[in-house]
Amino acid sequence: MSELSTESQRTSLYDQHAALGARFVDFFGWEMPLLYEGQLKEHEAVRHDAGIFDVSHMGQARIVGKDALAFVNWLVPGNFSAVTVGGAKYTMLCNADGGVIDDLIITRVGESEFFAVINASRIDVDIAWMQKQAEAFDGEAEVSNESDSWSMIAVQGPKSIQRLIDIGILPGDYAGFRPFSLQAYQQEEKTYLVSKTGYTGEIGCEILCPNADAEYWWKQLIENKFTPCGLAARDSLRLEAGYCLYGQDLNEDTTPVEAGLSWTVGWKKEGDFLGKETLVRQKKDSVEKQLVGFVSESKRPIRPHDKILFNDREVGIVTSGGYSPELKCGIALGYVFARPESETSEGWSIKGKGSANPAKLSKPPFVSTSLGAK
Amino acid sequence: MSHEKFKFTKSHEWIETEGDVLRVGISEHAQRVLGDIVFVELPEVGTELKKDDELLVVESPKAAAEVYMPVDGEIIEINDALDGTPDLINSSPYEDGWIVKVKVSNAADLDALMSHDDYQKMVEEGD
Repeated sequence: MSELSTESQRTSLYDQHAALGARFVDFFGWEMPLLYEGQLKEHEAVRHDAGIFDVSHMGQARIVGKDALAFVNWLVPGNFSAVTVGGAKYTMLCNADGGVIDDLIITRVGESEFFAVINASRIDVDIAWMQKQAEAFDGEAEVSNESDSWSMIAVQGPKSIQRLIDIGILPGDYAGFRPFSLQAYQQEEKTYLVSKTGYTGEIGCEILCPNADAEYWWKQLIENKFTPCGLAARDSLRLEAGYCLYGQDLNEDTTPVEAGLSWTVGWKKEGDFLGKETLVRQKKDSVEKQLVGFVSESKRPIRPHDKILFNDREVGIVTSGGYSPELKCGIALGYVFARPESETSEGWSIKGKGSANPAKLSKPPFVSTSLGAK
Repeated sequence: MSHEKFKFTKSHEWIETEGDVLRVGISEHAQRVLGDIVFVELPEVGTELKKDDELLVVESPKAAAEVYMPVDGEIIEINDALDGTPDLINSSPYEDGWIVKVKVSNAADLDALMSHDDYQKMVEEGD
């Protein structure tokens, strides 16, 4: 376990986690629950039942101004022109070279108002970047940091939505709401926001509330048999689902096209946006590296920085390596630099400490989930 | 015998003596810190190793940890059950989760090992 500095931050739910016997870990200056009962048990609960995650360490920003839409369309590759109020998109903050500064979800909460949820490890960088861009932008748009105002609980799993409906946190027709939509509700005079999003591959949502209400919601969920899950399970769940993790699969030297996230780019969007030139060139010509997925033939977990081999030749590097509790074998996302002539799924192996293990090239998600079809 | 009568190493291995054969595994503390063990690659029977040589690696989704030979000796038996159920190390670190049996070549090595009480003190004081 890494050293906890005396300046570690804690969320409003810290005492709840301690009371549940959580083992804590440092996550970019936050003292977060790594696990409660165990990573595999928690992972299984989310895949087959319903689990909850404290994600209050993540950041939030609000973009307001009469030119907010034009600003957002300049700021990110995603096209927000057709996004109606209450709708959202998964997109990226890109620098002028198309490199990813962060991946984030931006919701349109008003005609000229947007609400972004950003990674905990990138709050300071993102806010500084967005504010700098807003200042330079030829139009009226202001970015404010609301990260200290919000707590957030992710509720995920095939049984999650129905159970939230049964206990009155979600309306009866929630299952039919469009993905990525955001609604505001009230219970006992407590306002909360629900975003139909998640990072596990299962159906579910994320509940945002003022910090003072976090314990109220968390306790209700625990009492109603949602399994508390920590960062260890969060990582194995997102990896099985094939989702990128900023800092591992995405960084400022990687573009959305290289990361297999071309689908998030508004190619037909009118006007320029940060990084457009590079992204358009990469889409037209080729990329020097490409993010791909692997399923190992061995039960041994794959590790970040393990080497990717094709016919015993080193052709890439693992960025996110792990173990799939569902498949009971190693799985990984990694960048392949020199594309072999044949796009066969055979011939690959992954070498960590010790001998290389054969692996199959596999397009994520690696398992079937309640959210997607495999 | 109860694990409280076992010997321990600084690197969290335990040893149960049965004459000149030692049964070896990793401690309750070690398995808890590692998390769910999902992979164990056992050494081959007949392998001869020296004290502090790497015996094998046990792996959880989050970490890989080396297990070290506590004495000079020869591997005479391995716990095959760990191939299919490596999590026996988590659920039963001192019994069903034993890892190897070793024929000790230098009995004096055993004297250098810690008692359970001394090991517990070491763990409580922080690694």
